[in-house]
Amino acid sequence: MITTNQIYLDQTLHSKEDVFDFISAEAERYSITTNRVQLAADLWERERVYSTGLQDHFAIPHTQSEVVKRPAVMVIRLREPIDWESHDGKPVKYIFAILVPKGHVDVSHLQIISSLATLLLEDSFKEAIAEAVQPEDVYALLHQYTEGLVS
Amino acid sequence: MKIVGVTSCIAGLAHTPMAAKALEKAAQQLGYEIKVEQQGAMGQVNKLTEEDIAAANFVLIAADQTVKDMDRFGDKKVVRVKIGHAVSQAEAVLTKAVEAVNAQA
Repeated sequence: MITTNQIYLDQTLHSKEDVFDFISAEAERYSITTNRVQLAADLWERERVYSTGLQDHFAIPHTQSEVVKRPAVMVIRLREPIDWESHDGKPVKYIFAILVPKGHVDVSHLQIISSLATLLLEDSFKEAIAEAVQPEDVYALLHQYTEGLVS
Repeated sequence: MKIVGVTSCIAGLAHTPMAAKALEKAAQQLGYEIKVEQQGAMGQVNKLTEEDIAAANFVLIAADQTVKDMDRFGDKKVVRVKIGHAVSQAEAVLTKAVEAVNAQA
């Protein structure tokens, strides 16, 4: 569901559109989807309801989509922050993307997503993500903070 | 002050559990008792019991869609907020909700 290959540190992407295209292309590369165009459209559909920007430069774009084949989480840290229409007006630098198939999803996967989402309320976790040097560091943090749910 | 809450967002994946956690943390900070039911992709998580509801001073609904089982709250006072606000400004949301309920009392 999450691997170090899907943790991208210090990416250069210039807009929300770039980010959604990047997520969708990577999802296709790792066989999470076979239709990256539709996946990007589905991320946008949710985004239009209200921004997935959280406070403190974090965003959590997500979709439960027909074209997602298996649950996946991607972590992207941008080199330069971008506008995300967040409620606190701050630009976004840290992106946790959540991709979930339509229909039945294993409860254990939903629990992982739920605990990842709530982690974004923890200041110490957010600071550690900012300071991570390599994808393995981020993975270790996810493992540690979810008490082994991510493993 | 005892509060029962329900959180529910469109996808039921991220904001539902986040808002619940944020409200629980904020309540602890402010010295209120709260129990929050999540209505999300996993169904009803941490479901409110009749006793929970009976003991509560009011009901806080943090949702951007219709919430299930509203009947069970009977004539309890209900305060509705946007779920995004509950995630990002939980303390302010709770403080305002309590003020609003006290003002009506």
